[in-house]
Amino acid sequence: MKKSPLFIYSTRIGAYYHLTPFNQQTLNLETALISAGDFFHMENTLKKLESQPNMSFRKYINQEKKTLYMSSIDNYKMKCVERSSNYDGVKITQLGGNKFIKNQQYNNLARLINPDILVSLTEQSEIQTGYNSIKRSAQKSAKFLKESLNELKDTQICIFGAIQGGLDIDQKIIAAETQRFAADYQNFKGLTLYGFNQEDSWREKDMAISAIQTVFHEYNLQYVLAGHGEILSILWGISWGIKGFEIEEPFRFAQNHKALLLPKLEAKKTELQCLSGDRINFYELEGKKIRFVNFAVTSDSKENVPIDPECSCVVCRKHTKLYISHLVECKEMNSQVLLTIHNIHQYVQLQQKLEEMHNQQQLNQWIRWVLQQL
Amino acid sequence: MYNGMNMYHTLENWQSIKCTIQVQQRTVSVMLQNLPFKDPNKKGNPNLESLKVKFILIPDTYIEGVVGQRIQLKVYEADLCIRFPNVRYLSKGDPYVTFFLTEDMERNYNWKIKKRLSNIQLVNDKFDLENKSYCQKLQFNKLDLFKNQVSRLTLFIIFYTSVYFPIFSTQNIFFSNIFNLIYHLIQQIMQELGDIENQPHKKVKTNETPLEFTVLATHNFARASIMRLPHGEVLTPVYMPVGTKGAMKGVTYSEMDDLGCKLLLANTYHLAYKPGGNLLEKVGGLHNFVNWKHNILTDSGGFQMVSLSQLSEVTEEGVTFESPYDKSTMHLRPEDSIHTQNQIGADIIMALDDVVRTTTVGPRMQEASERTTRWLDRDIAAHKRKHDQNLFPIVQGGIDPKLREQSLNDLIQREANGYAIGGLAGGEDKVDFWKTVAQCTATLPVNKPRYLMGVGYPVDVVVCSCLGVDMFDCVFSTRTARFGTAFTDNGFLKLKNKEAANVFEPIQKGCQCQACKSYTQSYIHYLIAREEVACHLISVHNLNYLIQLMLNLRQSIIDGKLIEFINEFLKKWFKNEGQIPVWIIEALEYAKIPVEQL
Repeated sequence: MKKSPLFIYSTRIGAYYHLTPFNQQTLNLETALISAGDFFHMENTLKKLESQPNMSFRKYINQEKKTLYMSSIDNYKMKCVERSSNYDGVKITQLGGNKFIKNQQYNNLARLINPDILVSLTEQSEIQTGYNSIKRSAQKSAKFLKESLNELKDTQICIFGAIQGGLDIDQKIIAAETQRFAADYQNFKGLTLYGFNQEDSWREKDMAISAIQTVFHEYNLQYVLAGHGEILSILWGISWGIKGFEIEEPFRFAQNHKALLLPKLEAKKTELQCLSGDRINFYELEGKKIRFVNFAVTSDSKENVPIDPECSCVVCRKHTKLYISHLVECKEMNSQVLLTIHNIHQYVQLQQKLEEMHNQQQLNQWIRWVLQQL
Repeated sequence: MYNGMNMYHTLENWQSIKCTIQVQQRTVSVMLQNLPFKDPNKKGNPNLESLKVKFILIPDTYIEGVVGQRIQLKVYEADLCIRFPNVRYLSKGDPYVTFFLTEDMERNYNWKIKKRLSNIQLVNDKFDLENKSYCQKLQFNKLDLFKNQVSRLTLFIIFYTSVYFPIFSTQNIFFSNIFNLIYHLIQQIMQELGDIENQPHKKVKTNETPLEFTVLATHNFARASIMRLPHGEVLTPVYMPVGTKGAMKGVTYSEMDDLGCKLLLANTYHLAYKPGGNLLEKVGGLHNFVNWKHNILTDSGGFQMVSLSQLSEVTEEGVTFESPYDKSTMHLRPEDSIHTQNQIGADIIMALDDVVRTTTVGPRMQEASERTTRWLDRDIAAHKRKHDQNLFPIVQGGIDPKLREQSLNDLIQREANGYAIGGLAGGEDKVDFWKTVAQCTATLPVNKPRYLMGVGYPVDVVVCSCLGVDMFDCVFSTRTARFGTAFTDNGFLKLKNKEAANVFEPIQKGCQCQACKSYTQSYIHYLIAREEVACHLISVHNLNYLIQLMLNLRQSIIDGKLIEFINEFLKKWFKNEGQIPVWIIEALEYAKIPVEQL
């Protein structure tokens, strides 16, 4: 990954939610999460696109010079991937509903799209299912990974395995063990970790990530945390050495008329020096919450002041909570546009700060300092 | 204000030349008299004894940007064109003064210079000079006039004449002295103006008119004009996007600014409900509330009588609405509408009128027309911000010529800064539509802007511009965008149709909107079904299309090429249909624009 950490922003058919190119300008987004299910019905068009002069896929979706990360699982959709009895593929949610997709088709689509990172096709076993079923799903995912590594070895695509299994340690270990072979492949670069949901306890997450990293401890792999990309999960994941994060939270918040309020990011050197540089412990995260303004509910959202007076985003410089509140009340879609811009700006600020602290080798101290404000 | 300084400057070997400088608002007039200049060939051209150049300083509209940005000022009312037959560009670093003058100048002196002026091509808002014209450029350094936004201000003056001049050379003291004189005078003016022009926006001072309307060029009824409002200049004819509740659906105000929009709409009825007139007044008006630095026009709420007619009841007192939001009752009298519009603070406000469906016949139409006039008097009486808000009356009368005539006469008697034509675009026959528009524009004062309400189909806008309308508004552009329909030169393009799936071209070739610069029809086709941003993009495109259409039409009037422009537009727009509707041909014929059938 070119940057650390890498924030991978969700898109729909390659377009960020509510963000026109003009509104993206000040945000400098560098990544895009491409959901495979968005493109299967466009295969014919994508094939025709290949023969167009001066029109690459990236240009087609207006994401040139961005890092493209392609995955079969899209957190914006409910039940994006369903298991199938067919050993050659899974069911993926698409425009016309859930359809069976072979891994071969998935890889073919990857060739057309040519992302920088491809998360191999995966199957998640059902909840409370038996050991055999879990093992079968894990073996299927491993089979898909192997096929992708072989079929796409002539491309520049970096392949990531997909570790399912929720937070069940056994499932996680099974999933990790069945994919350990991939470390011998040159185009295998890391793992995307699923199942680390917001509602789960930090202790369970600690144990699950530890189990996976134990399996691959001898290899220099990169990890991407799948999910919504909540800020606390990012802080937790960074401390565990996770380098990439799928990000959907700012869009989801805006959709629900919420504006994120980040804590202060600038710490004095003296403040950091007295903090430990050890990995963040699970109990340091418990009870912590990120503040936000809920325009649909909060009474203080009607003030004639910016969302955050110290925020430098375009929305806080040009508009007030009063105006956004008016837009929300009138059900004007511009409220979501403005809130998306503000929320994404918070993430961009956070990413820049994390990168800075990583370079200064003060990440854990800084994370501790931030957590103390929450 | 700096006013009427007289200077006498004695030139070596020349008679004394009297120079008068007058500055009024941002118009600077320089009059040089007693010029000892005669035509040696005596070809019947007038002697040049005086030279008057008028130029206008436009601080905010045209002068903006970063330090060092080159600025051009355009002159619209100069009295004289002088052109030197030989070009002489002074070397870099020497003082230059250059202006761009327009065809208006020829009218004052009836000189046959149009042919020569046509040698100048207008290319992307800059004059492309031919070799035969002489220009000098004046450069002021470190002039912090407009809130430190510019540190270098360049004035351009081009002098044209049909009088023959000897070959210009450095030995020609007369011309270099003239320009030096002007240079020094302008420098003094700028210094004084710099002290005076402290206000950041063009807020018109009390007791000055909040609207100035200047016609630059015409083609029969069609006009290309500039309308100066409290929040800046608007080039007309103009299409005004509609942001009913203080927002353009899916398009931010920053994007509207980027499109070059200088005037947009908001609706009093809806804003009175949310957020309310009192709140808007408290925060300093709608401009502050939404952070829009250009102009705003508010509709009175009258149209909602028709659009929400099932929820409204009209009496002489006013209109009673049942809110579609919360079923509460709102009573809207003329006084209430004007009061709320005063609170909103728009640059142009509309009189509350009694609106009925265009196709209404019988006594109700007459009642509505006459009541509109009575309500206008109440509107005028209630209007408390005459110094910075322009109240436009609305001509009614449906498609009945007699009622229209009565309404026109009543409204014109009451003298306003502009007039609106209402009660159309409601399903009437197109022939009745254009004839009613023509009747109104033929009668309304030529020196006031005319606003045709609720019209925004590209073809209608083009035709009515030719009939003399200056302003248009309609929600159609953004509403149809949300259903996946885009405006193109070849008509409406339905991007949801499967034919668009494999078209790897932008919506409109050559369009500079962000949708066309970033995406193809194919991509937007697929995106429409999945993500709202597709609708935002098409909205931006449609708004840009209409804004540019108006600018191009306007420019064709200035260039004297309106007929070619109209024919080209219609040829493309109706190409697929194979023929131009008869009503358009008749309307344009009336406007003295011959149209070739396809």
